[in-house]
Amino acid sequence: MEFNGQEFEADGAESVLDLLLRHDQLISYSCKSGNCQSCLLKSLTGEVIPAAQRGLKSTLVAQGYFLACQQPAKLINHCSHIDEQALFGSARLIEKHFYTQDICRLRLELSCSLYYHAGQFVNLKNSNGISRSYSLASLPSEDEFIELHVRHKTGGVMSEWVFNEFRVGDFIDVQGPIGECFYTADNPSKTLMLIGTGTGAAPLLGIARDAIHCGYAGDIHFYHGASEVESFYLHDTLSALQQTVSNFSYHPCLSPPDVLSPDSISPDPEPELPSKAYQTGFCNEIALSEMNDAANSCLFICGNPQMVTTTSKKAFLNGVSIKNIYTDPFEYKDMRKKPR
Amino acid sequence: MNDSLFEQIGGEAAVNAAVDIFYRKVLTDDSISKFFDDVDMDNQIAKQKSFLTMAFGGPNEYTGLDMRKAHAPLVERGLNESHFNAVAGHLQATLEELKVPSNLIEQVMAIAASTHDDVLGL
Repeated sequence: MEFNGQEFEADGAESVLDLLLRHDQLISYSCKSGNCQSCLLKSLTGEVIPAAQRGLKSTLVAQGYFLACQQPAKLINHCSHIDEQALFGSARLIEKHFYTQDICRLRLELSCSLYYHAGQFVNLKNSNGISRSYSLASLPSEDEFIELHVRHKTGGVMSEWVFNEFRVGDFIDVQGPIGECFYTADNPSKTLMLIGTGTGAAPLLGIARDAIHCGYAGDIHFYHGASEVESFYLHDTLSALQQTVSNFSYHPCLSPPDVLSPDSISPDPEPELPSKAYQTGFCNEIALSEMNDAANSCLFICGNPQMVTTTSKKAFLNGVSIKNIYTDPFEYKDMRKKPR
Repeated sequence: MNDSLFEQIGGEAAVNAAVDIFYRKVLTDDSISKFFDDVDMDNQIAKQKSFLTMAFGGPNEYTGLDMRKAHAPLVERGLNESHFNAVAGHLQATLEELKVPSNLIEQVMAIAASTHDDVLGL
């Protein structure tokens, strides 16, 4: 069995955990009974037994994660730590489209194909060595490119570079895919609630498209929160989806103005949206209040980290099962780190 | 009857039924929720599942030392008797809500009580 660049020989029926501990490898573990999930590793090639994935969230199962204390080492050929990142590959910018002055869409063509799920994210690293995470709005089954939505942050080193210097035809390094916030075909009749602020709509768009592509039978509700009307940047796309897909509904939610926020707008009259009117209120509060079957709802929450934490906690307390809550908090400044 | 406590109580299915109910009670208790403020919920639920498995007499390899080490940072932040009792109370309430027979509840509470000194670092 290959792990961490070394080969290990399994003894009889011993578990991956026992094998690696026997060779003094640094592995976290605790209960050794398949419950605490401290010993999660990722299988790259080999056969993972069901007992080694018991209780794991669907998105971890989809990525080949397993409990090292339950998995016979003999059946695994190659495994790795779960946060071991893939190498950076190269991608070429094929399209840069401005939704608004502050939000643009990048479409990149990769030099070799990326096996990803819509809703995961990649790390982009530019020629100045700056690296930032962006979520995937594209569908591998439908798109020849990967699609990212970038918001211009004042003073944001990467976003300023993307807006002012990154040109069609330029190359950039891409690492990934990373993340556990994506659609899995667990139960295609639950109600999907997609809740996002700002460019949190990007992974949610990918997830919605993925579910629809897989013939999702349940209702899909997309709540997009923005603090000004211009920031409903996917209004046309999501309105069109609502027209063509009968079980998809789009709910734009304009956040009440916050005079203490540096991004707050002046109290001028808002321009009207061309088609549907929006609701006023925080998208997460509106979503939770409109949720009518918590036990059968599956939530995807993306964007502002505080909103994500608060909403997932409230949803759980209101009766949504933890295994049906998927989150993608947009932490700025650093590459996303998810400690386990 | 020769079935173990874990088998009598319903094994893993019982743990799964109990964990969400138990964790919700803990999170909505203001006297202890601060200890869970900044934690990853998925991570915490896995830990609670482990704890309930142990309390139900299920398979685990936790030692007293493991419990001590795991709770030491909380003890530093002021974890004390009242918090222990609050959590124990929620465990009992969860089992009552699930209509577990009282003789089994007694056995589970005894196991939970046996962790007292290790959890509180005494």
